[in-house]
Amino acid sequence: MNSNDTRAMAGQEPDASALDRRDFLRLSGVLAAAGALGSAACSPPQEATIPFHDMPENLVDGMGRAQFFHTVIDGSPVLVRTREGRPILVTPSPNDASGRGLSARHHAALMDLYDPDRARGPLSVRRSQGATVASSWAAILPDVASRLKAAGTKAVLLTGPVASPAIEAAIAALSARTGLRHVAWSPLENDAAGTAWTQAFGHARVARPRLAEADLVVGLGAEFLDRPEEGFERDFAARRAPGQTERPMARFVQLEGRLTLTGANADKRIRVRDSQLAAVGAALAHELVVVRKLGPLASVAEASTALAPFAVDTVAKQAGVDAAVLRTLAGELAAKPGKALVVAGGTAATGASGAALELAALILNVTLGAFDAGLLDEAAGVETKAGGAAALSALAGEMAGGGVDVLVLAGVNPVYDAPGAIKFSDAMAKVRFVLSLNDRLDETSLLADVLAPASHPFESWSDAALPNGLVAIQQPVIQPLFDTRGLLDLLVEWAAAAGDPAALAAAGAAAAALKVVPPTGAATPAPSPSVAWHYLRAAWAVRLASAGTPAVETAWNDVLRAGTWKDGAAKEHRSEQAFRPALQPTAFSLLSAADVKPAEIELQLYPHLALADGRSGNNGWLQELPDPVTRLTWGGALSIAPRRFDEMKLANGDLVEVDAGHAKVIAPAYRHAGMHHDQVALPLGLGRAACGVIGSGIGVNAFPLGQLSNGRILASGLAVKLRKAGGNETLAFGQGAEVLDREQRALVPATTLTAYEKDHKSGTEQPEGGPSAWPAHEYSKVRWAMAIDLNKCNGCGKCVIGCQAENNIPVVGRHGMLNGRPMSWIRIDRYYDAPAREGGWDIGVWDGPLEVVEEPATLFQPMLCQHCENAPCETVCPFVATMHSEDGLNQQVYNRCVGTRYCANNCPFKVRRYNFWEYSKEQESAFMRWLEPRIAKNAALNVRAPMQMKNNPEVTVRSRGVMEKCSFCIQRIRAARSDATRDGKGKDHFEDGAVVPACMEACPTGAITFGDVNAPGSKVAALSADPRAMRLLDALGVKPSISYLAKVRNDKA
Amino acid sequence: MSGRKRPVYLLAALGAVVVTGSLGYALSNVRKGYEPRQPILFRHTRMAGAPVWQTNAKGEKVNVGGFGIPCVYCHTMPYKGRHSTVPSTAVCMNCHTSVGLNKEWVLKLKEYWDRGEPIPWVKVHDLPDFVYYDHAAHVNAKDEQGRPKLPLTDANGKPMVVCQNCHGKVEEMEIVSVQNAFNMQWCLDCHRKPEMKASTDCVTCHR
Repeated sequence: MNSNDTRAMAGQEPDASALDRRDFLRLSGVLAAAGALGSAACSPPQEATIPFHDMPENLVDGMGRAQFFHTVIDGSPVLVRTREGRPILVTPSPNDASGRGLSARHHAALMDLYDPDRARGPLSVRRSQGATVASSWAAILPDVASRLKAAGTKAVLLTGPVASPAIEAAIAALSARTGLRHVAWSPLENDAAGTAWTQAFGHARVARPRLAEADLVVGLGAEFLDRPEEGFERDFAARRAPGQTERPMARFVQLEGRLTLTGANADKRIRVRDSQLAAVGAALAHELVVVRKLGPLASVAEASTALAPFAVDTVAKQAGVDAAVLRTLAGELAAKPGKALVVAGGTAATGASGAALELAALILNVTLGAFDAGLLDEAAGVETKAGGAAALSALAGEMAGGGVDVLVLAGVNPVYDAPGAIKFSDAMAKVRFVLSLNDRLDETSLLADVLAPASHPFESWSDAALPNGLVAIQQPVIQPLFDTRGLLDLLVEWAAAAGDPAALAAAGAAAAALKVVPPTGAATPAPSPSVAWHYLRAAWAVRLASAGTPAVETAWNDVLRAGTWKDGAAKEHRSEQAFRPALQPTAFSLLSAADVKPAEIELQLYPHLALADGRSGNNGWLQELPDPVTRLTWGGALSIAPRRFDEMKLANGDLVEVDAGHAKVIAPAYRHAGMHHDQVALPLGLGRAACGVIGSGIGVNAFPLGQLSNGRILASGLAVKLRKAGGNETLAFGQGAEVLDREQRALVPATTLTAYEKDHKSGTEQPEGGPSAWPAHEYSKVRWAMAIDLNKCNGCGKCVIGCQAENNIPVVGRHGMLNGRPMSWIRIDRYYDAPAREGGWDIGVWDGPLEVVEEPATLFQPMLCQHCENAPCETVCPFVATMHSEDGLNQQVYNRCVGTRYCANNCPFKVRRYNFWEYSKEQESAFMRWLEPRIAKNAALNVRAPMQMKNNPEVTVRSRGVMEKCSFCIQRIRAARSDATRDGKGKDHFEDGAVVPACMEACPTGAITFGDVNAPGSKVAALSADPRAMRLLDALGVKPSISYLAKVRNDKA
Repeated sequence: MSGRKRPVYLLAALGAVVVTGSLGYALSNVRKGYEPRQPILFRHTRMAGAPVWQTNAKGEKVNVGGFGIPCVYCHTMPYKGRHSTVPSTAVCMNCHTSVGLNKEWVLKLKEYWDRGEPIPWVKVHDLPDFVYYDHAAHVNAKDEQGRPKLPLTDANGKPMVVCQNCHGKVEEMEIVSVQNAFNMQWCLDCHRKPEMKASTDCVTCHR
């Protein structure tokens, strides 16, 4: 009963607005409940803060701060940044005098370390006849030791090329005691230079070209930029600065068949197919030596006789090159004696005429006086080891004949990458016991008896011999993540079991260290130094003592702190003959191999730039790094010349069968600009069958196409037939269109040296913007800016990997790239420059017309958030998640971002990245995982343990629905500010080098300069004011903070 | 309600929930007053507090107060890095291998030490993960004259450690509790003061 009922009974109209007592009470009850609900203070989630139990003394200042360790990966010294005991970033080692460089592989080694598909411990594999069974080191170590003893000389250790003195010593000790034989080989072995030098000078110590000293470099299929670990990038970039009086800009002319990264950086490129490069080199030599009678070989009869068949006209006709072009090039070389350098050594040298190619280069260098002028550094030369393929072939023969009882494999995967002719897997079946020390159940380990996984180099002790007489210690930067042992540890253990005194001493010392009783109450004792550590210490004690250094204890730490050690005792390799080289007359007979009748179509097998021999196939970073030239990710393609591609009526991705006679593969086709019409190319290192969840089945394995001939693997000049196989496999490109008309789209400043010398601002022309609607930001103190020198940038892509490592950028996978949703904050855009044409071009950016892409001029441009002054993204965010900071940065605040994506829409540079998917944690709902298969794929790429250990704790890990972009490494800027405060310095300005973003740190050539543009005398201020500097899209008035310095092409012959 | 649809009541109820809820959320503070129980009843009063001398029954002078141990003896990192650190058990054992072994909590501590297990302290001053706070930048902050920006004297003019600006008088706390709001508004209260010349850019804290 309520008041309205009462009123009704009284015959009155109900009062619509009346709230009677009961209603009021009901309502207040609801209100009270609501109020209680709403105002209930939630208690914060309880978070633990767990300190050390017993903090190591030397970590006193290390809490929350990075620690750095020198070590060596793959023969290149690196500096590894670690946090809380785990490595998170690989950087080049400062002050490294070895002359080595880093490739993308080195920077991405972290992902190999944290690869969840590594074997977690020893396994009994039983040659894949059933499930693998976990085994144990306690069982394996003595078992293998006794087998080695029993097998004697019928035991073989197969490894990759060994550059570690300690490992060599351990293997030698083992061999001396048990008769074990050692075979070393590499699927990418290229011994042409060694062969040529042995014939020419009697030794295989190939001198190192000094690119920084030459005014003119001619590359005969040179690939020094494709192999950055050889360390030529810095030297090459050192001579790319225009307008210098002391060291004028050098000129680089490349002759090659496939457009390589090296060729893309050339000032002039001449297409010559691989098999004809040797002949063309000989033709140039003919022109200089026989026709113009230059150099010391002009008077050597054998030289003239050997060169006689290679007259320019003859060769030009056979090779399909313009004879006039060759003559002009020869003239260029002749005009610069003592200043010109000829470099070979690329994939073309793996062909049948490889040694002849190298010899032609040698002849040219001798003729041009390069040796006398010091352009070839013999002291820095490397002793090339050859014969690996022959040894492997012989070994396989022996195995097949039952002559091998025990086969131990370490760091090699011949079932995957040996030439098909060797039939390694069949041979392996005949071996009684096969032990694999590889890190996972790869193609070879699946056919082994036991997999005893060796630790990653980051987890184990070893050492490395480096060029320039340097030696480095490879120290671990983390305890082994899984139950693995270091390779050196294993070899020393077995040598000890076989009775070698040094190994026994090391094993004994390690065992004794285990017995040391820690102080009472202390934590479980730290694992004792490994057997390898003791072995190394003993060997290094001898080495250091012989160099006269005092206490080994301090000397050892000094070496670790410095990274490398100069072996003063190493004799200088100088021989009179090498410096006043008289080529042995018998060498010239090699040239006959240069006369190759070209096949209709020839195939080149080149190592994939990121993946090399494919051992890191499961590395998401490397798979996702776009190839600098083809822009392909997650797989490779059969590169075909544009005209042939069009003639065959192909589209990108169409499947084509490549038949080399002895093997054939089917691969998707790619219209490769700059490819010679009669050459095709396939990348090596893809098509792994068993490397893990991430990389298996990506791409096509081209190793079987390699041809075994005379103990060498021929990887270029292989005669093939092409056939359209039908079907299409979409190629995952990291970039869209290819050709850029800079008249219509002034996106990349570029010019020629002639134009630059007339007007320094040449190349930076762009449509001007009008007045701005916004008042300018004022910066009285620090203002961050960046300058990117496009002459120094060679497109290698290490900045991309460095950024990915530093900023916890996820891997999106093939499906993500196909969706056009990459996550990398910095990308290298590669354009082919459309030459000026009467009437202009129809559109500004598009896929290539033949006249541009047959012989393209390549432009590389690192593109990242420009931190615009008038950022179009800042004005449109409805939640103010992105705005400008007081020091010039465009900030992105993840916790405000809701995910409208308006900012990315507005960005004219398209550098904003949106987390469409959750890359940071598992999706717990099974229903969601069933509903959307990509969720599981993303998790497989990013979230499986121990992958998250690679994350940098200073950078937020973004979740789904959040926008991200380059932050100019805000974490490093904040750290610098904090350090400045702590040290009592003012923060008004920062000097050069105070803040180095990850991209700049990774860049080998110094193309990226970052700093405070308001600081007087800062490098970035000077570069931003340089006439070559251009800030992009002035027409839109965005006013970027990044200046691009125009790429200047040296057109002055 | 007498059978007639009264949407106004439903709306009022919803409105009330929203208003009270928002007001409640805005006016409440999850941090101030937070006083979590720790695995070991460590008393800052005893360690860091001021000494209080008394004469006991035997006529000896005993200190029933604290030892006046400075904050940085244990919390070593605030002047050096981003994080302040809770000391490792070894720091406690510097004294407690021999001192106080008849006390309940010292024995508990020793148990952790003997077991080799780190002590799972509950984080009292816990900021959300998207806040990157930097201790060193705050405790070391100095103005142009070189004077510390954060005051070193309390409201009564007595000298104090710089830590007490935010953490309060920890040496008077039996159990550590949060003395201030520790929300963004509270941080901005100081950051916005002109004399502090502190940055209010978002990326200062929210990277």
